[in-house]
Amino acid sequence: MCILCYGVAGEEHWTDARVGDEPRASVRARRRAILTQIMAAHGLDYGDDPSGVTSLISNRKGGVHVAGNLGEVWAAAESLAGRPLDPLDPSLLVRLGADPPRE
Amino acid sequence: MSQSGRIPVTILSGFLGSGKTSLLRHMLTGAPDTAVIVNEFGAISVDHDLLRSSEERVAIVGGGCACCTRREDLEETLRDLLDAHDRGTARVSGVVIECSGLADPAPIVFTIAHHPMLRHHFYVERLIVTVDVYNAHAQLATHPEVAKQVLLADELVLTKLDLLADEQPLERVVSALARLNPAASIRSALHGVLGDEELRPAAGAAAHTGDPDTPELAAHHTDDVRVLSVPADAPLDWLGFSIWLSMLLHARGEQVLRVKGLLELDDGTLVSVNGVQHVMHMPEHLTRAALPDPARGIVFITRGLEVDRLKESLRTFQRLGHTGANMR
Repeated sequence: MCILCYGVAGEEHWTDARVGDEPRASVRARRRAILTQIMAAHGLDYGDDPSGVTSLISNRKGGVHVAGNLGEVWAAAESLAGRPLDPLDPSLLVRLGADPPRE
Repeated sequence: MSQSGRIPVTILSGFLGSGKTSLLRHMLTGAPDTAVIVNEFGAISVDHDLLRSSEERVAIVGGGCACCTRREDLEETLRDLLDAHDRGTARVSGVVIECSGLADPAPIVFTIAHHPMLRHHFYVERLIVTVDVYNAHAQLATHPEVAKQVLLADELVLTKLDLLADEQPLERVVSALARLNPAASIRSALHGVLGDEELRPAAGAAAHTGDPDTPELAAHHTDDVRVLSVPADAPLDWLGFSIWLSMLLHARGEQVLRVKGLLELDDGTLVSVNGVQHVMHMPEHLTRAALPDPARGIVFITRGLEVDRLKESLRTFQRLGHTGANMR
């Protein structure tokens, strides 16, 4: 339990493990930038708290979900977007900068 | 996965009559502190102090995904073992769970990795699968459980070699198993005694990528299984990789049977990754001193996924990661 926000600490996700020697602030900023692009491709907004522990995902109808780890982020985004978030979706890959699929 | 202070669990799986018990007996020689969990007493003839019986009882978790199934029987048995260990009535330095021949090992991995208490006290060290080489072709062709066990294995142990007429069929079995699961090591065992040498497939045996030349051993239960081997020719951006993989497992976890490998990151760090369907173990840092010449790369064993799409997706997320790198 966080004594400031009363948030309950969630299960440690494998993506939360500290890997490599990149400073935490840099990891957090890059994570935010990447997730913002993925969420934007689904019509969603992404933000996190200053500690980087909690993520906020919102849609443009006022719906907001709080997620404690990356596993929860995908579930929350799916619920707000009303459709699955699939990294193999060709249209998502094009939005994220992949070459369009050849006909 | 971090191993600090936790008790290693070995899952021993393999089809009926494939030599699990002989191997287990050998593993227990000189290991009195290793607890053994079997499906039922009397089903195996192992004389061991720390023998526990556990009748398979499952609880479906979440959306009904087959791998996200809790083995309630195992939770109770492992809790009992831990209690005995903590009270000092038994010393447990390791656990071997022997699966029944038809059991799916994935729920066992899920149970240990996700139980709120047990995951702090136990970790899955390895999944060993015994394969009867004499009957391997027939069993893989007719029993989907056997194919699934082979696809999930960390170590494949070939048994009944003494029944083979000459070396040729063994080479074929080794090559075919390596195509199905290139992430697993392969060794042989004679009457439960493990051979020292790792068996390697003949040169030129490629991964099962859907080519028409795939071996007959693959049979129809593995027709839609594809292997994506990502060589370590370029360092990976960990953030782009981990975001990609977690999103992939969320969306397609049932189709990603196995993820295993050793990654070299942009900053030169070596990281070991290991996952079974939806369950990823914590990544581990490895030191170069311990691995003077490690084989780098990562293997994905998937069912019903297009390898080209997977590669394109990983490339796109790597670009995202590298684009974000200018924020450092």
